[in-house]
Amino acid sequence: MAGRQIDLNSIPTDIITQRNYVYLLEDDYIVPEGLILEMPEVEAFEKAQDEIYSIFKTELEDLIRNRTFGFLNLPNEMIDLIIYSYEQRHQHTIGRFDFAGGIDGLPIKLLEYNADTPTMIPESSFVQDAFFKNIYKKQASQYNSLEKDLEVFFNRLSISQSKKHPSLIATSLGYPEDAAHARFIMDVAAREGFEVAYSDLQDIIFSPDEGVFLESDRGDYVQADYMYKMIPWEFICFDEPELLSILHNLILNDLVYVMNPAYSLVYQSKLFLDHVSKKYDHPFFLKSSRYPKDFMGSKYVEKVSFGRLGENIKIYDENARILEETDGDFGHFDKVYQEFAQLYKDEHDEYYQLGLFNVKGIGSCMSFRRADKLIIDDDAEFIPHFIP
Amino acid sequence: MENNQNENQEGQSYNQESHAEESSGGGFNFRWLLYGAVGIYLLFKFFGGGSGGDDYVEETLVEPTQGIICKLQEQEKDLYKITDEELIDNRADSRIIVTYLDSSIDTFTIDEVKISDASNPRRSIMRGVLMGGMLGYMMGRPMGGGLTRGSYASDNSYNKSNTSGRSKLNSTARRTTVRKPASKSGFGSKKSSRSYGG
Repeated sequence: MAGRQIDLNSIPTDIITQRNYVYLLEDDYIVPEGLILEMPEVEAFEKAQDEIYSIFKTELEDLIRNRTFGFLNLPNEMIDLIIYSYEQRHQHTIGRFDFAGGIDGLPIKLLEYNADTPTMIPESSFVQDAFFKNIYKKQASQYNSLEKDLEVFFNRLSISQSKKHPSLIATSLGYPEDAAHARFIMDVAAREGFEVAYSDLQDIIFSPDEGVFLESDRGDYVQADYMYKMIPWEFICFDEPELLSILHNLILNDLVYVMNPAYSLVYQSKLFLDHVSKKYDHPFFLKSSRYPKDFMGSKYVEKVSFGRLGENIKIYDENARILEETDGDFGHFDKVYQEFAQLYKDEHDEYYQLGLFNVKGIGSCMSFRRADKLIIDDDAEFIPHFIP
Repeated sequence: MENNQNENQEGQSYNQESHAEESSGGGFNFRWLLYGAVGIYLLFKFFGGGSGGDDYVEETLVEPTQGIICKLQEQEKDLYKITDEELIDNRADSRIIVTYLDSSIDTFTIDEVKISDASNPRRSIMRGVLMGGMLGYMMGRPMGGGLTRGSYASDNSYNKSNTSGRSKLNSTARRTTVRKPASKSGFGSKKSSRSYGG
């Protein structure tokens, strides 16, 4: 379809600044351009999201029923938390599926599920909304109710847990973008009546038998019922095993409720994606394997079980030569190999990858990242979408 | 499907701007502090005593009960010094009386001085000076620490506060023993230089 790319005359700098997400204005990440999606394309993406989430859930229940977590290579305490958090129906706050294709007839293919610590939340929600309402301004729609859905999420969480004055600590390891995401969730929870605070992880006090505390300005200690973490569960498992042990005790004794819940780590793992891709013959899944030899004569991609931000990815051509690769900090994790998926490419040879957010597993928002290379990593641009 | 669509039609879109105005978020308020204190008391009640001897560390909080009338003088542009601190009975009646270079006078409460206001940098400058005086004990500085000579206009004003003033304030202070849960912190302290999002 011609004319999918839209030049917009500006970006919503005012609201980005007003809401204090100025890091989004760095490195030309937000650009005055948009992408048109047709309604049938949107519906197809949503169908993919619904079906895949349902499969993931079914398969997680199967793993729990049969206690067959061995292939995920996780510590036993983490397995306990996965089972407990799922059986106690701890809610999956937010995740983001990354899809290839889906535009101009390209098949929709799941690349990965950022189920634990998804990013792109402020730009996909209120920045994209501002593009739509304040800059695009045409009779159209946008698949984006993310901020509203999160408000409903925290409203219902507060009601379901019967806490009169629920309290929440939002935390990260301190990197500005991660902290901003934690604060975004914190602000939503505050609007729904939660007492909230942000703290870097290093300043949170974990008492193994009592709960999670912050030291107040007055020198006493306040306890939080909930913790939203922009810290991956696998970091807790492998970099801070003592913290895993403490959280094991706290969560199993209902002394703190952590979001995203422990079972989101299963959804996040590429080993789980490899597992479901083999088990379910489904058009949205790419062929997957633990061995590159299974892709002889075709293009394929090497990933790691817990990679982040497009790091530690290699794309191979039909002769097993590297076409593109990224370095990263996650090369020590298990390798997984996926059939190469075609991203939508515009007339300027730029590639688009769709991010589809879900709240409690239900589709909530779509947005795109764009790059002039096949691996969409931290250098990509954010592109809003519009549906005429 | 319809629920997810953000329609550019009047009446069908939700107003995110109104959320933005409400989204101040952040910060435990006093109410939560109270719950925390009650929580810690309950934890002590249920878990304290014989078996929990190693689970807590006791700390004594010392808080002034008296108030202070603090006189502040602008000696050069944006250079403030404490000229006098007078103890009064009621902490809530504490005031800061500032005399500016042009001889105009302003009066603030402690809460007003504590508020960070980008449009009023004077308050921030004053706050730094007041923190070094006895008023600092009401703004979160531990009472065990001494006063800062540089906050005072003269040796006389400093000595008055640092001897009799501190002594009286200390003798009437409220002492509360709190039990800090034995705990671990400092996790992830060396991992802030990159994003861990996905």
